[in-house]
Amino acid sequence: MVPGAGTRREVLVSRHWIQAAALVAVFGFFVMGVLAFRTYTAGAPVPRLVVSESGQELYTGRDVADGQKVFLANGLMQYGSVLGHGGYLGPDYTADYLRRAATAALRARGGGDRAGEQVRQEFRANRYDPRSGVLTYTRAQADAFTALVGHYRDYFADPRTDKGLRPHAITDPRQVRQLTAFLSWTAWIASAERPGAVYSYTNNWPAEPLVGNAPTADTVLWSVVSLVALLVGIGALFGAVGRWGGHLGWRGRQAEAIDFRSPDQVALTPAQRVTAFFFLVVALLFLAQVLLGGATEHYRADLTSFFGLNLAELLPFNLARTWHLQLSLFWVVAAFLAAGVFLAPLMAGTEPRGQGRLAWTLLAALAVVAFGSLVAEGLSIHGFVRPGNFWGSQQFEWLDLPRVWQILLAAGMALWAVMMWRVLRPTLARDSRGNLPWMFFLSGLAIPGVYAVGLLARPGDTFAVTDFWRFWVVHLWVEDFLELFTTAMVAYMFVQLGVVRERVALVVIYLDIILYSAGGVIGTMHHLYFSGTPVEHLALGAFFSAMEVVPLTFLTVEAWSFVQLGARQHMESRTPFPHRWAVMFLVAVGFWNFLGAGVFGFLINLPIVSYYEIGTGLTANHAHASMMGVYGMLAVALGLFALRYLIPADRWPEKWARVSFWSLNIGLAWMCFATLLPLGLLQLYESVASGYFEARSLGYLTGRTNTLLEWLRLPGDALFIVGGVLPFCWIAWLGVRHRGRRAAADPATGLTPAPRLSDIREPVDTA
Amino acid sequence: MTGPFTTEAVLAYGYAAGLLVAAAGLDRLARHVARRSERHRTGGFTYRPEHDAWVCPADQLLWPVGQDRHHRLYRARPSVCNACPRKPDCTPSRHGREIVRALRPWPHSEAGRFHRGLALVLVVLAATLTLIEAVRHPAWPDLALAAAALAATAVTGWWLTGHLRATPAGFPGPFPEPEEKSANRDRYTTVWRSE
Ligand code: HEM
Ligand SMILES: [Fe+2]
Repeated sequence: MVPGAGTRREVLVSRHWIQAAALVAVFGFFVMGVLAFRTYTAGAPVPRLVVSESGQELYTGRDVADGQKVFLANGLMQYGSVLGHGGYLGPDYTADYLRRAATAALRARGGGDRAGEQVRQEFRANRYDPRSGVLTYTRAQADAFTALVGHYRDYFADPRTDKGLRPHAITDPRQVRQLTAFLSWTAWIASAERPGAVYSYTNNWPAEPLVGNAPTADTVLWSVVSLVALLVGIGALFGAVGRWGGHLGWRGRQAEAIDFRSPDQVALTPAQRVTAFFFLVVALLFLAQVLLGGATEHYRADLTSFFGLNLAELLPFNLARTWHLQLSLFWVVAAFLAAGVFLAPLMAGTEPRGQGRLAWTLLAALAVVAFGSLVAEGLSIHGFVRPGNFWGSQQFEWLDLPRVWQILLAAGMALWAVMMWRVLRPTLARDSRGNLPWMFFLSGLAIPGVYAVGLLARPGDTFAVTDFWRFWVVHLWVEDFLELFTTAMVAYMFVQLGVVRERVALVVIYLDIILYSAGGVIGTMHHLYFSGTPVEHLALGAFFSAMEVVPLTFLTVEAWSFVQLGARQHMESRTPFPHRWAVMFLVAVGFWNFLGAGVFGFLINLPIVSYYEIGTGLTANHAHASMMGVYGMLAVALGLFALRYLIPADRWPEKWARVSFWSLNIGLAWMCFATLLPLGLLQLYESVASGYFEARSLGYLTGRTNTLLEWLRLPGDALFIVGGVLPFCWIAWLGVRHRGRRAAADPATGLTPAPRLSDIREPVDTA
Repeated sequence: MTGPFTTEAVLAYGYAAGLLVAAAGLDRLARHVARRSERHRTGGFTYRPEHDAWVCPADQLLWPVGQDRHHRLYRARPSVCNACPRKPDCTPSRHGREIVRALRPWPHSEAGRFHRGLALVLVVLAATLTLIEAVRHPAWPDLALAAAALAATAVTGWWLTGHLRATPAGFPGPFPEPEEKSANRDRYTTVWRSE
């Protein structure tokens, strides 16, 4: 059994699994490469120069780029949106500009049907000359541009805070002009028809009758196709499992009888003990994140006062939302990294010297990045930083942290990958590249890898290009690689505990790679239906992202049903299973994967739905149910797993773990079903019935029904914070206070042996 | 206006009704997941109720050898299993393949509790929404809808509470339940020998 030097353990599963997984991944990324190429070559063009009919210069391509930087630096993407992407309180500035410009043009022509038709034609005609790079605005468009520079000057210089922005948000006239140029350009690509097509660069988004924007034939066609794809996909998968499921190898085998070691018998390595501090940081970041969420939410429920305080002077809506989103990433990622540090020695059997010190370095680096980037964002939104500054401003939604911090974060995660490598090296050398340790390591490597791709999005690039790369991180992370790493990590935890066999775990991982990558990789394009990318992005995005729902449905129904306590564990009671609540949180992950990602995600996924829905309440509903429901619950599960060994058995606060579990889940369900879902449905209705511009207006959002619904979530939020987050903080604190039992290092080699978590026991009785 | 009712009332009570349907759906999910888990531990095996025994894929019988309040344990003859070519895919034990029948083995028992608990949250929410809407617009034909929604909520709530009660967490606790304490371990051996 023990492999000698140079020989690797055999791969535990059929090679076909590996080949199939590789094939799916290669195909997906090949198509993504083609789409990247098309994004650059066939995306909406930025003119070198925009002039009026009389030849007067209106703005340049540089102004558009600088205007985008101004937009980002002031945190406007966390307040409202452009081309549908961003925050949901402020307007969509593309739709806003388009409506105002078209209305002004209509007024200039005296109104009436004929004028309406003229305006439509004017806005739809494409007067861009690709050879000279000059775009000519009609007189009405040019006048509207001038008028709107004035409008946005007043709008952003407003001394009041009743929009949720800080007072005097932007006052520099040059910046306002650049910003207006950027918005004007987005409105131009939203209405001007693509050469050779009868729809605009954005597939006619947004719906705006004044410029003749309505859903395109492709939007409808690919919606139908993707719906069919989903139904066929689910049917095929369940059919296949019914037919061949028995061969997957997890059916019907009796589980081993296991003696779980009591946490008191488990002596930890130095790095494992440092994770106690990681999880305390995780808990505190979580707390800060939900409190900022409370502030964000308060703006939506009562825009003008924070219980009598003018909060917007210090913490305007967009800053609160920036921090809320950033922290949600930070605490989840920190929990993942900590769990990796905790699990790696278990896999390798030992931990090399110095790993504890590296763990401290990693924690310090993360703290510096988290704190530094949050401060930089605050300074930028308060206007202390030049737009596009390397140190201080980037602020794409989700990729908010300024460039230098982004690089540091990628470097921090790379350090983590090195730490994994140090520990796992001997194991990796002995094992087949197709087996669990390699899967664990490779899926872990993908996390910094994919994150670093986000560096390709730069504040001054064309919007479609920045959005393309941004969603590699936002989407590919959560909908592909994190799902994979999660599966690898959880499967590994269960293998260590002895409740899942290694071979079964491996099959599940390969199945995951195939199923998630089949839809999830190309499915990234469901975020780029209307960003100025060509129509194949829409077609492929719709088709493949529908396929994402298949594994979510399937794996929920199967949801770790292959976790088996041995038969005897149920009847004899000698060694209780120590991870009741970690497993329950994983059950919750399965549930929210199905509801939050699968159901609520698909609800907004068809192009025809997204056309009216993008950037409205149903996205918030999906984002909360999936981000917190899947990755939040998962981070807590990982935390509880490690904390169980960091806290002595007789100090383990079983009751608080239970309270936290139920409070977090009930609070989240309440949040979605009491507020986010009904609010989103009403807003979608408003968007179809009255118009997208209307549905995004502050007047609509602060209406009576909306306000009532916003307040209705209060009990759920309170339960979530008080009953869910605070107990978790308490448990994490206990972890730091006790920090487990220390294992002695071997003085000769410097290696610390990693603990075993369970022992296999033969049935006690003999016949 | 939608018929004699205001649009808002129809939407509010309609949404409440939708929540009840979702709650019922969660309840079904709970049942479904439990059944799948049962399939995983007994896949390929068939139960013969007339003998209270299981038949394994190699056509051998597993007889009952023990039981407590929630479970029943079945086992095949070790001599048969140890000679069986399919043993590696079946059991690691030298003492014969075992099957435990539980109503719902943990963690699926507690997962069922989780799904049913969330279903009840939806019912509570439906009641809350109905009452808020009724207080906001206490006008006549709408109140009939409110009454109907409330009645449906009460029935669903009562029904699902029953289900929740019937779904114990089933976590194999650290200590045997008192009345079984002494009987537990030896009994297997005893029953085995008598077989
Ligand atoms: C665990 C998995 C998932 C997570 C964590 C997640 C998270 C998110 C988040 C945070 C957003 C908001 C992005 C933004 O504000 O720009 C979003 C948007 C979106 N998600 Fe997901 N998602 C998941 C799975 C899915 C799945 C499976 C689908 C569909 C099949 C889906 C479809 C969408 C769509 C269409 C949008 C765009 C909505 C818009 O821009 O308005 N998601 N997702
Ligand atoms: Fe996505």
